[in-house]
Amino acid sequence: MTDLETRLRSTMRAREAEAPSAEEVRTRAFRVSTRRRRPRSATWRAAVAAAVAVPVAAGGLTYAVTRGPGQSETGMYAGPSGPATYAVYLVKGADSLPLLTRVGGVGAAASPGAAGAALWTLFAASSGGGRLNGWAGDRLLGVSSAKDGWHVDVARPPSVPAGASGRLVNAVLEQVSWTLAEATGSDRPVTLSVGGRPLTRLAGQDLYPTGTLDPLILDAAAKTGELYRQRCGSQQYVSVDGVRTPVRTVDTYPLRPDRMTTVTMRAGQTLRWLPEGLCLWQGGLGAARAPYDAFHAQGRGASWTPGRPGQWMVTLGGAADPDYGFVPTGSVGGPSRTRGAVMVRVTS
Amino acid sequence: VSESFEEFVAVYGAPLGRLCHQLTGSHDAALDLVQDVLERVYVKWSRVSRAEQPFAYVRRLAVNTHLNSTRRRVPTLASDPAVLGAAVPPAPDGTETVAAEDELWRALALLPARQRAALVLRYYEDCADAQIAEALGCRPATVRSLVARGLAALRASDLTRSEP
Repeated sequence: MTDLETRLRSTMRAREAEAPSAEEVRTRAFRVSTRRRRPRSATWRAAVAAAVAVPVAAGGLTYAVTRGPGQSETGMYAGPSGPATYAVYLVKGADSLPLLTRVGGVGAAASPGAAGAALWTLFAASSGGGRLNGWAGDRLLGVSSAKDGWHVDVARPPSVPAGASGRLVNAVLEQVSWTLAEATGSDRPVTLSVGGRPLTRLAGQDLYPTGTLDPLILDAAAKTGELYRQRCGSQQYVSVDGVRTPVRTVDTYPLRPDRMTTVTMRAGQTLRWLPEGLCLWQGGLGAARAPYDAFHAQGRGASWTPGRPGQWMVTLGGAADPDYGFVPTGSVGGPSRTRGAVMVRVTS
Repeated sequence: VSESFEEFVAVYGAPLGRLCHQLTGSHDAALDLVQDVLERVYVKWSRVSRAEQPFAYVRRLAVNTHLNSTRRRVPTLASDPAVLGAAVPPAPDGTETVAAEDELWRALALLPARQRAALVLRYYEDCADAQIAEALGCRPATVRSLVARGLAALRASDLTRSEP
């Protein structure tokens, strides 16, 4: 066997860890079997429609159910004039482990409790490792409300492995899409939209136009910060004009900016990630409700010299999908695998 | 069907996930391929459940589903040679091993889908030429040609060098 063949085998084996887990495959299999079921009956759909109009309570929490004027043909998030559009979520109940999901609008209705927006919904995940339960015999549990967009933040139940929440959210939303399709008698998934942008890849990473950190970035950062350390065995640093700051391992979820290493620098100074030779790219953080409004994909050994004040999250390695606007070129490991993240405050 | 289908997924789901990942090179694409394959398995369940070697059947489904999808797909940014080529060669530091492996992985992603599939089946699944030929729907001689051309392409790629 040639050296290349040996390396090829070695590389393929090394990449096994990134393959979908058995649990993820089971989730997909579940969706297959769910989709193949016959559409819900008209009676069932009518029951869903009726349930929308009444308050419901579950798990000790009460959810205000509102119906607003902004319902689109697809039944989701079409209300630019107010926060009263809604989405319907169904959960199995009974043996389900509750998964709290906050759905909030971007803008005036960004936080739970904001005027006109009851932003809490309850999903359910089974206790079997985060797989979503089926919907047969379901009852309506929650309604979300949004103004011109929304975000989802998941409180991870113990059954869901750390770091899996981002994918779980996607799975939830995909299920919501199909559930709504069934409720409306459609044989195609209902198109969800976020901030007016349709979500076309629910199983992918193009979600979360939020005012907070992208959960997937956090997800990836939490997993791979430590992975990087294990594989490369090196402490990471960021360097501003030669002054080094150790980067704290990203190992928490959800990750909060105040728990990340923070670096302050002036516009015009140069930041570099050490050891050199790795990718540096950066994204804006929640500024002006337009996160990720600026990205720079740079090659290995690149540095960053911000030209204007602001707050940025700088990551080592890419963390998101090109479809979402990130261009994680040159990163060791490619996209979806951030190896570290720091908050950078740039002053004038 | 559902129960036996779930049993099938419990047994073969993980290896299917790994195979799909090797074929696509991406976690998310692998999951999508897994789902496509499982949909076909579900539809053809009576045939799959009777197969003497169910995974061989599923392997063939996975390869063909992937090859069919790559025929329709527009090039993605991640596999765009122009983008990959824009990366500055890595500096010789402690991350070189990781970088070399990563670059080989990405060079693999640039191969034509059939060549990649042949390499995956040969070097990851450890299939014999006859098995690869069955999965790809071609003759063993064609398999050997695909593997040889794939290796040659990797060897010729600048991305495969281990050190600058």
